[in-house]
Formats: sequence, C-alpha cells, structure tokens
Amino acid sequence: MSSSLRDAPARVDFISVTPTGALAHRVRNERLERLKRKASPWVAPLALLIAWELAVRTGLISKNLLPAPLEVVQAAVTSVQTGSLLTHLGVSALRAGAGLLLGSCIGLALGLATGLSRKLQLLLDTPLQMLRAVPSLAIVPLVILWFGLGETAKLFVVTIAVVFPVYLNTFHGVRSVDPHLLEMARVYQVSGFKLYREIILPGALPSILVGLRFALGLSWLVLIVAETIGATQGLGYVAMNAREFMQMDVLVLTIVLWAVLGKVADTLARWLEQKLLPWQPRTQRLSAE
Amino acid sequence: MKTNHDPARGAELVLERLDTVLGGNLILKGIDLRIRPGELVTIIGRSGSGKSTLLRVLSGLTEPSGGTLQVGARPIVMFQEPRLLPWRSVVQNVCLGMEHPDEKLGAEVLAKVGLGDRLHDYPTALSGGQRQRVALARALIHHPRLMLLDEPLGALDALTRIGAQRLVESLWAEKGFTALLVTHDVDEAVLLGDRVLVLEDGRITLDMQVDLPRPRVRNSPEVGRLAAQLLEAIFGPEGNPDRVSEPETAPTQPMAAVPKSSARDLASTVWQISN
Repeated sequence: MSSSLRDAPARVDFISVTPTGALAHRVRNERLERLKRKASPWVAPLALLIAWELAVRTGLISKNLLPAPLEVVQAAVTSVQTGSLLTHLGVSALRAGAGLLLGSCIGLALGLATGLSRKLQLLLDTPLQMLRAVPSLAIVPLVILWFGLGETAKLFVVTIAVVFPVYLNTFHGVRSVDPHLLEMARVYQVSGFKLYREIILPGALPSILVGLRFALGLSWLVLIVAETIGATQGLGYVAMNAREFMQMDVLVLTIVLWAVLGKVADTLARWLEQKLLPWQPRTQRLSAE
Repeated sequence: MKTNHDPARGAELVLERLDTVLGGNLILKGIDLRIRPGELVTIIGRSGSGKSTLLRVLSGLTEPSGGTLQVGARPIVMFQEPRLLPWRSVVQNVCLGMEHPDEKLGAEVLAKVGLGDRLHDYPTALSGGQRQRVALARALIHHPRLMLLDEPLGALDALTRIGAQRLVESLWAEKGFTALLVTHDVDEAVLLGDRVLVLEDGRITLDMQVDLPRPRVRNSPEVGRLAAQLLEAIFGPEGNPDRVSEPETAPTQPMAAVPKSSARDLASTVWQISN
C-alpha cells in the first residue's frame, strides 16, 4: 500500500512534467524566433557602427575625415541640449509636411480628374509628363527669381516634386478600378458622389497610398535641395553650415538624421496603409511591399 | 413547394424583333419573346449563342440596335461573379444600392440566405458559395420584380451549387418575381425552368414548356427525358460532331444526355437524401 502511494505521485510527475517541459521549450523557441526576426534588420547597421568606431579609434580612419560614432552622438546631445537641433528639425518637418500636403492634394485632384475623364487626360497628361521629366534642381534658379529666398520658394520646390508620384499613382488607381464593380454599380443605380465614395476611391486607394509613400520619401529628399536656397533654419541649413565650418561631427549627424527620418516616414506610410486598407489580407499587403 | 404567384410581384417582359449589334457583329437576330409575370425561364445555349448579351440588353447594360423592348420593372442582375466590394463588410455590401442603407434590414435578408452570423466579415473571408449568397441578398433587398441571373451558379462546386439552386427556387416561389436564368447546365435548365429557351446563333431555336410538378427530382426519368430533348435540340439528333465547337460540353453520342459524371451522381444522391 505504502509503496503504491509512493509510486503514484512519481508517475503523475512523470506524465505532467514532460509535456510542460516540451511546451516551455517550444514557447522559448518561438520567442527567440520572434526576437531574431525583429533584431535582424538592425544587425548590419549595428555592426557597421562598431566597425566604424573601432576604425576611427585605432587611427585607421583619420578623425578629420570621419568622426567616430560616439562623437556624433555627443554632437547630437549637445545640439539637443542647446535646443537648436530640435528647432531645425521642426522647421524642416514643417516644410516637408506643408509641401507634402499641398503637393498630394494637387496630385490627387489631377489624378482623379484625368483618371475619370478621357478629355482631361488628353488635355493634361502630356504637359504633366513633360513637367515630370524636369529635375527639381533644374528649377531652383527659376524659383529663386520668382519667389526670392523665402519660404515660398522652398514650399514650391517640395510641392512640385511631390505632385507627380501622387498624380501618376492616383491616375493609375482610378483606371484600374474593377470594371465589373462599376457595371454592378450601374445595376444598383449607384452614381455620382456615392459612386466615388463607395467604389472609385476605395478601389484606387491602394495605388494612391503607394504614391503617397513615394511622395513622403521624396519630400525629405527634395527638402535638402530646397534648404540650400538661402535658408537660415532647417536640417539642410545645418548641413551647409557644418560644411562651411568643417564641423565633421555635425555634418555626419545631419546625414544620420536623414536616414532615421526616412525610416520614420516609411513606417508612417505603412501604418497608414494598414489603417486605411483593413480589408486587404495581411499576406497580400506584405507581398506588395 | 407552394408557388405563390402574384402577378403584381412579377414583371412582364415583351421583346419584339429585337436586334443587337456588338463590335460590328449581329449578336441577337430578331428575338420575339413574351415572358409572363412570375415565370421562371431558363436560357441555355452554347457560348457565343448570345445568351449573355440577351441578359445584358434586358438589364440595360447594353443598348439594343433594333426592335422593341418592354421591361415591366427595374431589373436586378446577378452576375457570374458575386461582384462584392472587398472594402465593405458583408452587410454593407448588401445595403449598397439602398438610398438609405438600413443594416437591420440587411441583416434580416442575410439571415434568409443563411449568412446571419457573418454580417461584419469582409467578403475575402467567405467561400465562393457564401459570396454568391451575399450577392443574392443584395439583390433581394430591393424586392425585385424581375431578376436576371447570368450563370450565377456556374462557378460553384457541385454540392454548393445544388444548395444554391434550391435557394434560388424557393426564394422565387416565395417572392413571386419573374426570373430569367442563363445556364450552361441542361439539367439545371430543366430542374428550375417553367420554360426553357434554347438560344443558337442569336435566335431562339426552341421554346420548351416544362410542366413537371415542383420540387423536381434530379435524375428522374421525366427530367432526363426533357434534358435529352434539349441536348438534341442543341446538337441535332446524332449529336453531329461537325457542329460541335465546345468539346467540354459537347456529347459525342446521344447517350450523353443521361447524366454520367461522378460529381453529378454524388450531387443527386445528396439531393435525394436531403429531400
């Protein structure tokens, strides 16, 4: 009797512990996998930073040519403390945002108009395609003569650059709305504003968002050109200034900031995509990226 | 099955010498046709015979080029594909065409087609048969007096299709609308139609009254006999291979009138069991 009592808990332990152990192991493995997936995009940049730091410290790279990452961090901390960096960032973000908003609205309106009307397409598409071929840099002298060195000039350059990706993708999106759905809408007498709201806009939205994502990246890129036009504030100005005074750490800092901001803009665009296209299966969205 | 045909519910259709030209070709050639209110008419014919064009003309999506056409009510079309908006939920899709979308009513109609528990899913989460039932609910919410069905069951698998056929038939019996169903399935044409029209090269070559009582039994000798007659009308008494342009639907022997495919056998078994 006593021996069977001793045996029983042992057997229960044996049965209950083993699967739990296996499960725990599997859970640990899954966590590790997830961590790996999240960390892997950062492995290469991090390795580069470490190599860079070591190269500068050992004198492999001259300090005058390239400051060490820690010095760049130091420069960032200093300029945040004096408040100047955040001010410049804010000014740049405002310019990019305003240009993006204005350019997207114009691009969207043009894309909808040409997408919905063959006549307008014939009238507008060719001049728009010609304008698109002009590089933003080429219009800068003209813009300075038109608007002087003020904010208008910068806004203009960013706006013009942003218009085209939004325009092209909106046009394409409207034209690729499923004709079967349009026919169905006719049967159910859906027309006018309701047709736009229910079918044409949602149908074109994935394509419009692709355009917006391009535009978001482009607005930052063009901004550096815009901020070389007699700016006294903004990230582009900081970079120009740093070049004048050979502040290598600040110069590298601005470059790093462009990279970070580009990533932030892209993440924002993806988030927007997820919010606005909830009907798209996740796999479809991932494959589109 | 009780049929409840109120002439006020179903619309009348009258076509006189109706011609339709598409892309320079005469697709419909002088069609004369009168369809009584509440009738369920099935139309069968080989592809290119003009049956889809006929439905498009009746639905107002294609303009006829000659003759007269009187459609007694606003037609509601069910297409071969469900044509749901992927960015709207099931119930929103059903309410799409309503002037004042009423999701409560939408939910009621969806319950009628057996989807009362999927109101807020996106169509991508549904199966092909379920999507077609959403399309049916979208049509029904308008209390149609005339339903035009362009092979809406054609893309469904055999079992789903039987369920859908019975659903369409029972809704028709209950609501009393006039219905035109285009199909490529001879058995379906006989099982569902009060009348079967054979369309060939833009002309109606056979207008067959089907006086069998409902519900009709799949694979019953009467249905088989009428189906055989239809095949003969389409392909000639010998099933002349020279006239055959579509190998997948073309019987090489008159024997082919008897249902042979295993899917169909399986389907008919289920039909009998569930009866």
